[in-house]
Amino acid sequence: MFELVFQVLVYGVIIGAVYGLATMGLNLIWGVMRVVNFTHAELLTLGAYTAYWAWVLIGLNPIASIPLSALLGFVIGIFIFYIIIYRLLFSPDIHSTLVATFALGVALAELMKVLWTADYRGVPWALGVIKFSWFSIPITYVFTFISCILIIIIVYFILYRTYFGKSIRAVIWDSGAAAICGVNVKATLALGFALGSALAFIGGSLIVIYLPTGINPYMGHLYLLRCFVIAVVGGLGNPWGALAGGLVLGLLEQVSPIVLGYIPGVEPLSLTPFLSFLILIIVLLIMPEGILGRRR
Amino acid sequence: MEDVGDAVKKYSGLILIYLLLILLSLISTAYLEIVYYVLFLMVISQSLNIIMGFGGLYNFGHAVFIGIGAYVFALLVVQGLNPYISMIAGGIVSSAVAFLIGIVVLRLRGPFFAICTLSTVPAVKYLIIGGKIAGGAAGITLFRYLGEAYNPYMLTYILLISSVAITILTLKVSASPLGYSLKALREDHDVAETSGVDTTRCKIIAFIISALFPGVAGGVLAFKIFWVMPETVIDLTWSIEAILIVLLGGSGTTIGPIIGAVVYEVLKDLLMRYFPGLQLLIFGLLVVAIISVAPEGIVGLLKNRFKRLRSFLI
Repeated sequence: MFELVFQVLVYGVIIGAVYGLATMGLNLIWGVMRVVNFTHAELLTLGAYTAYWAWVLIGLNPIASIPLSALLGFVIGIFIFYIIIYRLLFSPDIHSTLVATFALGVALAELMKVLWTADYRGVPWALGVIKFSWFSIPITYVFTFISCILIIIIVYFILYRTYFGKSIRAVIWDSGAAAICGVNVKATLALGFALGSALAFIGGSLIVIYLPTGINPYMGHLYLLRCFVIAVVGGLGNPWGALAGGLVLGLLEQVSPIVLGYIPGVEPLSLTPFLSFLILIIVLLIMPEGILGRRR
Repeated sequence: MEDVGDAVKKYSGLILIYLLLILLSLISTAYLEIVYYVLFLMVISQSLNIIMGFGGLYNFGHAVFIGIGAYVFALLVVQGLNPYISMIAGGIVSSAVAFLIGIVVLRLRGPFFAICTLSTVPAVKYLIIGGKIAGGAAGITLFRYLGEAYNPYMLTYILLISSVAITILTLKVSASPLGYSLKALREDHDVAETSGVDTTRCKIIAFIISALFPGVAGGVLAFKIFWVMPETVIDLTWSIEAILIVLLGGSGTTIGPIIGAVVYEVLKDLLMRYFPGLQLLIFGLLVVAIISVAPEGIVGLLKNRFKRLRSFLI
């Protein structure tokens, strides 16, 4: 029993860190420009494909391909921002960015299907297993966790130790006042969106490690629900909330199949997304600011 | 008599479209198929229009109502009930579920409402698969029960009746206190609330109305494909198509979704012929283009261009 609990906790924390990283971008973008980026899940899928193609074509493993996918995500984010988001930001209907990003997500998923077919793909990257007497863990998971922590530290550094990060935080706080103080709001919004998109790409590249054969153009559907649950549980707009939410969901996804397994006549793995939806609703109704509140 | 004449003149655009559809359906079975799809899309987008066009609430979970209608239909038909009564039952149950979902979800506003409704689609799907409800992932096959009763004309005309009913309902709603309240809360939720609009009640009523006919259409869909399974009847694509059609035609107008559905189906057919496999890609980009360039849709464009058409574009 103890082994099982320990295993579940460790796996939950590791997967939770990846989920948190993958959702940080969504929170950041909502915080900076009050846009729920429905394209997020497709950006994440693109990140997963980046890792896959880096593995197939160049032979890079998913962790080594992170700089590449971050760069791609950044560039694509800038494009999306200037072509679509910026002109809709000030439209009278607050829903227009929402519908536009949603439609863009649908189009991107279809584009991926056209380019790379709907086959399920995966990166067979394995480095062996660390075995303790009562517990074992793949080495790739350990590397993933370490790189997650490193990236989170880098993001912290960007947000709290650079001028760009300071202006992002200023725009989150009050974009009008930031503009008066000489912050170039448009450039900050663009960079914020690009950073969010780059984080989605990185998250996608890391998720590949948990999906031996799970990369396909429509994997975003499920990750969108996951990202929403994480973002809402942690508090939309708070990048650190995403980490807390990610840990909650990571643990839930590890624990619930085991617990649900005791209920006869159900499929525990498929019921887990429904549970996470219940959590989404409950959190939105009881504490809409998330479990961390609106701390900045 | 004068009143009737006025009404015919006022609604001539609508009547013309419906007459054309009936005529087309009688020409050949190939056209019947197209008319069936047009009407199906019309029913789901017109019903979405009530909550999305008038109320300004973007319900991304419209597909759930179709799924519930289909499942109720299948479960009742398996019990031996008349399929047409089962369809109506599907609509009613779908409305009841909308009431339950609405009580919870309609408290949320703007993006949170969209997030939650979008999440209802996978949530309901995985509830059915995971809970092994009504056959789980494999679903229920209906050919055994319905193979003899199948009549494509009947299905098409049920959709036609639903569509006409929902058009009349939309006209009634848009000229009723409920319609004005919805429009008020679309423009500004807080101002509407302070002016004495019971926003929650309005939203829930509109939500219930908007769930009724997708439920019926879900039954028709199940009848058509003889198979109810989570992946096909609770499909996010329905939500996407409904939103696209409402935006394409003109959100918040009665004739908008009708024109939108016709244009969409024609476009989709052409794209399938010339660019197979690329429809959703093109439609996704189309939505982005519409919302950036012409947020009022076809009806808005026509109204601006042709002033004389204005009285027909209701």
